[in-house]
Amino acid sequence: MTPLTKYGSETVSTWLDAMQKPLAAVLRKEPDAALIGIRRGGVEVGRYLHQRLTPTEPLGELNIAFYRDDFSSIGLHPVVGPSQVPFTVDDRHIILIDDVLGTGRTVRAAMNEIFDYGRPAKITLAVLVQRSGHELPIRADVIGHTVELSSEQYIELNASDMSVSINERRA
Amino acid sequence: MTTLLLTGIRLQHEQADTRHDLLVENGVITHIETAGVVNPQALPGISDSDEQQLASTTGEPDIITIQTNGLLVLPGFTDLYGRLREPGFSRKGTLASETAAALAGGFTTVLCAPDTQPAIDTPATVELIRQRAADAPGARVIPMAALTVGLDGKQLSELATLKAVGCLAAGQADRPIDNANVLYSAMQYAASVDLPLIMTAHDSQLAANGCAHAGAMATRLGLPGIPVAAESVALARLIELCRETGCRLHISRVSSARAVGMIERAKQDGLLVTADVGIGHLYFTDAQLAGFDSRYHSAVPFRSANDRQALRDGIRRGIIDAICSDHAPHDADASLAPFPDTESGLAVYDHFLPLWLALKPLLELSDEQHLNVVTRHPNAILCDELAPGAILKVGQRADIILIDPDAELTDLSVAATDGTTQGAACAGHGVSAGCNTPLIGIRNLNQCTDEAIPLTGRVHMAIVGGELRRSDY
Amino acid sequence: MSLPDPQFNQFGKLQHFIDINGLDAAQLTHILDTAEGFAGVNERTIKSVPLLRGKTVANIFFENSTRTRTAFELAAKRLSADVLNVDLVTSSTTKGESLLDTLRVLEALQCDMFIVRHGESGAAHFIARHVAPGINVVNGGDGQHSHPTQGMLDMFTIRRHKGDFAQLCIVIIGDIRHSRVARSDIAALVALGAGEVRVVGPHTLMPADVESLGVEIFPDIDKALVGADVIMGLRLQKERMRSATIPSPGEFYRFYGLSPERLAMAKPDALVMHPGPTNRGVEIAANVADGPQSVILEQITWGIAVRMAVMSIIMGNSEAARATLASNDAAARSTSA
Repeated sequence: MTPLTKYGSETVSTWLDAMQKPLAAVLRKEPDAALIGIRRGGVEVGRYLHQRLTPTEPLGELNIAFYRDDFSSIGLHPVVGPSQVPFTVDDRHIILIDDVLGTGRTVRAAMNEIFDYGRPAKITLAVLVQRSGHELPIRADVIGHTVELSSEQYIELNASDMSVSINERRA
Repeated sequence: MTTLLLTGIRLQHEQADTRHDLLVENGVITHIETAGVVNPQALPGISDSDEQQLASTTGEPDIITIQTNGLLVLPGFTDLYGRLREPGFSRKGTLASETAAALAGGFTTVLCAPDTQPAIDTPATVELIRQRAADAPGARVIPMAALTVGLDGKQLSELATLKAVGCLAAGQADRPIDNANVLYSAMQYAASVDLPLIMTAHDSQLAANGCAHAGAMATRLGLPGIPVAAESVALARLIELCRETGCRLHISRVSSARAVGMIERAKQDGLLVTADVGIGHLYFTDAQLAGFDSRYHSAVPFRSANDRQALRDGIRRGIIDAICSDHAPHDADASLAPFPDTESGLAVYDHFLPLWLALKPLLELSDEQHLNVVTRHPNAILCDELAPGAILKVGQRADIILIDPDAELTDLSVAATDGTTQGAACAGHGVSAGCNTPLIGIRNLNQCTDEAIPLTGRVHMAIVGGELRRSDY
Repeated sequence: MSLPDPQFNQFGKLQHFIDINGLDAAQLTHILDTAEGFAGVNERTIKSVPLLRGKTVANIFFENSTRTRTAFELAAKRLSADVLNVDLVTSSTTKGESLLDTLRVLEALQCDMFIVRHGESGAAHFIARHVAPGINVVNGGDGQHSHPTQGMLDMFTIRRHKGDFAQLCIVIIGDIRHSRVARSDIAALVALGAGEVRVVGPHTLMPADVESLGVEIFPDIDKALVGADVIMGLRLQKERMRSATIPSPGEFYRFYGLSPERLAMAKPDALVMHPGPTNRGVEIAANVADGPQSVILEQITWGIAVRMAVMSIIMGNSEAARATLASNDAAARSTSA
């Protein structure tokens, strides 16, 4: 379907640059900070940033399927590969990355999962897009772009060319 | 006894468009003529005034005329194996319900299996059955004597006494006689009393705790199997003892190709061996057990497609003489357990007629063969000479059924389609009290098996010994 | 009409896991893939996820089994469920209370999931057909018929080491006739497209028409082992000796036991598997059971992840069904209002 709006990869890379600057500042102060991306979109964004920020630890990847608060209309959410967190979480500053922050439930689940790995010193939330419609008191610390959308509209990252499109759900 | 005049009937062996009249007097067929010839007013001994007088004293008409409009009239069938559940198993059925069901299946005579409670091993039990059957008359009940006391396989029953009070055969139902010497002795004694034996070939040790044919399906389902050897070894024993003792041996409910071959050989050797097959075994195989479907749990198991074919060939070639119902009605609880713990047996009476009708085209039988297996042959095994043969004749006892072979099967009640029953209430049953039939609501066997066979036919009326005991009108 | 498969709900989704027969390769692979996710969980400090939080899982065991029951209990706890252990081996059921009555009593406890082990083949099917709607059933072993979670954890173990099933030669040795594990393994291997499945054992321990399951009988164990990638032993129960099925454990080991010499006939990287507990010196030599090719202990470990996967999948499908039916109801009410 044709998107309502499409942001091309050039536009999106300006958002990514906007994220990169404050995160680079964090890493200068705390070189042991580690990046964790939430599958799948957050991992794509995380990879992009990880390549440019070059922290000491590899990129962690979270599959939050087992931490969601809903089984959804299709049962157990599709398992998109197991979580990989190849570093200790205890006492570490975690930079948690996702493509879109909407209701906040995904981030809530991700934080629960991180705490099952250990006790982080701090979590900084970095998202490519923060949209309207939050249902939990969760806000991002680092934002690439902010947008207001209706509840019928949804936004998604196209990983192939790192573009972003806004679509509308059919009634 | 009321005289019955059936008019406008169709007879099996006559042209399909001809009509006949049939007269029954004092329990016997006295006239069979082309339609219109029999004039009730002209019958000797009945004048107008007599008729009215009789009517006023007894309150019953002296003669009933039934105008049938082309119903097919056949001799009533004789069932060599039906469980009537009384005395002892009233939750599963009664003589009243099951003899009524037998009529609905086309049977005017049923040889009642001896595994009642108490077993039919005393004249008192025979008398009890006779009385209870007389109270709610359906098909005629002939009790089968238990060959051993309590069917325990140890001590002989009083066979001569039981024969004298009306048992026309003796058997062991589904219970074994493990001791070969006891079996030998029992067969010798039965021979000297001239009582035919109705025996199932089943070696209890080879069958062990098996509950299904030992083949691919039982292997897949992990069900303990009953190998063919359990039938063939027991059959060999029975045949050899028959050879030694000279008794009249009838093998009840054959299930395997091997058994058919052995019976053929025994007949060629000139032994007095006859055999029957349950009608279910001509249609169902172990494939029906898929998914642990306990509706097909049968003590004589449904075996492979090869075995089914051999049983069919056995009928066609006359190696198997008769078809019985193997009717075994159960209450709903009997199937509410894992498969091996369910009680075995199918309630068959309500569907016997359609299943029997479908056999004629399926096995390419002649009319005479088709009828012999449910009339002449079983009656001969019981030495019942007054009973009808394949063709109704004047002078025979009036055991008659009036059927419409093309009648659509009515849904007697609605069945649950997921194999469950609601609590202890039956999901579906017909005239029989039995809840355990897979055929409720089935119009074509391809809903159950691998063959497309439409099922039609209904017994509209049944006359037993000249008495009208079933009527849809 | 033949009975519908009780494993699937009205939306065609798995709601009970009682028999590997009835699931296709895609569905079985989905269970294995999901189990991979849970295997990761079991390697963390906090070995649990909140998926089944607030749910109660009842282990209903009519047959003794500490090993299987513990595995299910652990899997349920790692999903944050509450666990109830109901030991029915010496309870009113043996006094004549029917299985159905027992089921009704247990339903009154308002559990969400039953893990059932029973001595009769077909018990799990019966329970799945009669259990109250909304309760999920997992077969922990029914008679000689099926032990589907064992089958799946065996497949998971094989896949972890060997990858694709299509090239594999698997040899199963021992009492296949009486083994629900063997039937589940064979069903899974065939469904997943295993290259070759060979069975070895004396005739008395082979079921009738075993080839109909999709296996090949090898009368000679030495020939069977040539080219084997996976060797699966089965437990030989003492009662086989009592029922005149085999003469002695010694004879069994001499002719069917997996000795080090026999193991050497298989491929050098062949896996040695056994559902446990092993009879050392009967089915398998002690040093083979403990040796470098043995993955017997690993099987136990993967059993937790596989059971977590199964329980989550069926619970998830039931929750989804409930949600769909609730929203259909709401829609129907609003249109009729």
